Amino acid sequence: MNNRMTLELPSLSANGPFARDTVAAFCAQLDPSLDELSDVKTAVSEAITNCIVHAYPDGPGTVRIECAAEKSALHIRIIDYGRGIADIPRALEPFYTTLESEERSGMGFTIMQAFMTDFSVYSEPGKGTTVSMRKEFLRGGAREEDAQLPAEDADGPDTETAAAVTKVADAR
Amino acid sequence: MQVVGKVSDNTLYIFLSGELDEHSAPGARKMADAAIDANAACERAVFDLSGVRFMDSTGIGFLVGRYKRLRRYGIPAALQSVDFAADKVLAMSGIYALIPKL
Repeated sequence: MNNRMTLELPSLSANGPFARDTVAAFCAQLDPSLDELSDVKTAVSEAITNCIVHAYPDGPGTVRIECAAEKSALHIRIIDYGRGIADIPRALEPFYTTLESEERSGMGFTIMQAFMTDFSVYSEPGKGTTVSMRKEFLRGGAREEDAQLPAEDADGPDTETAAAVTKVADAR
Repeated sequence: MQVVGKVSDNTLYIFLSGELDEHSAPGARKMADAAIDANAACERAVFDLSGVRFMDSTGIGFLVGRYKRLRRYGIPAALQSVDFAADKVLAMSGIYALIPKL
């Protein structure tokens, strides 16, 4: 399965819930577990918060979210055209924050890295930042294998299932 | 995000419900701080997260901020009803060393 979605919105904090819920809805086709879905929502929320707080500190700018569903994985890119990050290794350090006074934990990138299967960040100061992430959904892969089982074992359980389905249909 | 403070047995329970993120945090801070200031004579405080449907790292900053405020009053803090997703975020930060889970 290959499917894509692009979402573009201003970096308003009110758009955070909409953005992460939209990405979660896009993930539904990959049959994620609730925990995997929660991981994706959290990682997306962290990336969007970075856009709101760091990329565009003086007011809303454009955030572009690109999603692709491929086999059992979600590929996602969160792009801004804002201030950029001068020192990426520093920004990736757990607890590093440039805004200590605002009760910021400095854990955003750490959480994205821990919650997603793959993570990378590209940035040019003054031009913007792109966060690329991939999440492999284990159950999505497992279901594909399950779907192949009846082909190997054609009769037996399948006729029973068909009979049961007919019974249920008759009962109605 | 809703924040409700209730006192029982000299303990201030702070019930959080809804989604805690960049958008909801400012309001949640205000409500929690008002509850803390109004009940500064309590012996301890417990954050109850049973109603939290979503929380990102904003939750870490929120809890550390309230922990500091409570400490000024000499009130120790604890957490209860932390679900799997919230626990995953909080555990990464080491916050349980400051605010233990009940």
